[in-house]
Amino acid sequence: MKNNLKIARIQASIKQDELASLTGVTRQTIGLIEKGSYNPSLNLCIAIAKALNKTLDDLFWEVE
Amino acid sequence: MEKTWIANLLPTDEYREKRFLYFVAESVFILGIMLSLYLSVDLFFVALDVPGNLLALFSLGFLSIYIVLRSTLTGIEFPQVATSKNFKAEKRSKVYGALRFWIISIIVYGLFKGIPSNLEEALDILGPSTLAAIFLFILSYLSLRKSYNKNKELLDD
Repeated sequence: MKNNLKIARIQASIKQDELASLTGVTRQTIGLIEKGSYNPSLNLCIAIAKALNKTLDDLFWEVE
Repeated sequence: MEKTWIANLLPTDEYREKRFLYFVAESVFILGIMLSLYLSVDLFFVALDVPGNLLALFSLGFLSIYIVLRSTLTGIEFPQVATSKNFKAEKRSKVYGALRFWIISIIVYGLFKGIPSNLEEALDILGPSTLAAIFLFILSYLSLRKSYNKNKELLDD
């Protein structure tokens, strides 16, 4: 699934490993989500959105 | 995670947890097919008469080896290794780990078999210990290499 996570993370000046520790997953998982290779659970989506101060729509809604 | 006792034995990271559950499910599914085939052949064609303990040993061996190999080849065991520096440090620790294992297994094996009095007895202790240590290192290194290659592509730009 494509998403805006990488752009939002860079805009927030947060590194992958920082976001990983904020959301309780590994850096590998964050990297895989950004690449679109892994679809996170709703719980993780919400945790990521909260960490980046974004909504779920901002991050995961239909990316072209 | 749902309320199940197995949740306590799973990785905390949700990606790794999911992959691990897939591997367990795959191994159980394949084992189920193999046992069904065995049962069919044994009941309808030829009495195979494999001893129960051998069948149990094969089943347990297949389950554990399948899960270990799948985890190793998928590169999920070292999610933190993404840079060359990390990789080298982890590789060094694997070498030391294999050496520690080799020394400990020689001591334990020696305690069970007694102090060797000739070269043949010494080789009886050294041989299996060395092979096990080499196998352990190869498996660890393969897993590390796979994880590193996977994580390299996911690094921050």
